[in-house]
Amino acid sequence: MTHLLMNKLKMPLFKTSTMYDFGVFGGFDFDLRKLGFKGGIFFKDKGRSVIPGHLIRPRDKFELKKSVRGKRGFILLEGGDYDLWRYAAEKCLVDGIIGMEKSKEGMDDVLAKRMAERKVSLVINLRDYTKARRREVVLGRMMRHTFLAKKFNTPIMLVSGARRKEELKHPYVMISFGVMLGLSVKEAKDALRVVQEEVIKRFKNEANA
Amino acid sequence: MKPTLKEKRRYILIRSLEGDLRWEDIKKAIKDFLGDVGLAKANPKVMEKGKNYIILRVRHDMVDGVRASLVLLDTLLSVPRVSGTIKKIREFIKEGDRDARATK
Repeated sequence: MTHLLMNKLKMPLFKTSTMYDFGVFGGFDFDLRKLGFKGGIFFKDKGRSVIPGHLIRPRDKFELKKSVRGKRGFILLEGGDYDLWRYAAEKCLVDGIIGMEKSKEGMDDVLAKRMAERKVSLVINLRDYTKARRREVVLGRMMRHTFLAKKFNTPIMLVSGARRKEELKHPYVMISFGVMLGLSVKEAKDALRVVQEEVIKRFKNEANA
Repeated sequence: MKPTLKEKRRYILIRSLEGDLRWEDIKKAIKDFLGDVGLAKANPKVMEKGKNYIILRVRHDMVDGVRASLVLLDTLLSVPRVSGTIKKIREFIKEGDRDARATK
């Protein structure tokens, strides 16, 4: 009955409709609202994104500084090494760091603390896990990062990292994955909503100013 | 058997938005993610299989594990509902169909 009523009022059927997927890397045609998300960031298709997203892959600090210059929206750092992540976090150059699980070094307590102070998010990419050769190793690193992030209050984001339509994940699947990593249900839900909303709000304020 | 000693179950509705949904693939994903012990503990069973959906029965404390294991599937699917009774899941499916017809 409630569904019929919601349909008449043109309201979304999902309770997840306040959540975002801030990591869609493919340039495919799909409406994230069909899956229950409110929106997302398509790094290859700016028209579909809620706010512009920039994925940067610098090799060193100079390239990093150069690549973030003049960019507005959500800036996501991928690749690099520990020194680069630390520099990016300490100088507040990016909004999030993705793909730290792929590296052997990963995130340590110092980096987690710096990221928490500067509100730089730990972005956990589900695709890094599903497409890894040694999935158990990546999952272990994700668990360790989640543990550190919880301990030092580092913002966490869960993203699908989809390059194809089939790789998109339902919000409930992502929440369950977060729970398996060691988050509580509330924390896992917040990983799909809270930081994303803050980024959107900040972008809108900057645009109005 | 006392009700407190009975296994508590949950019913998960898995819907495919595009492409086929095969039980063998789901089982393999659960096995890959949770391992043999996890699969045995979850005790998944297909209760109903429709054109584009599957109702799966699992142990109540393994719902998150089973749902998380679906990340390994390369199919566009949604998991819109988990319920304690299969009746409610069936009602949910019926309501959804009715909604779809109403919008048409």
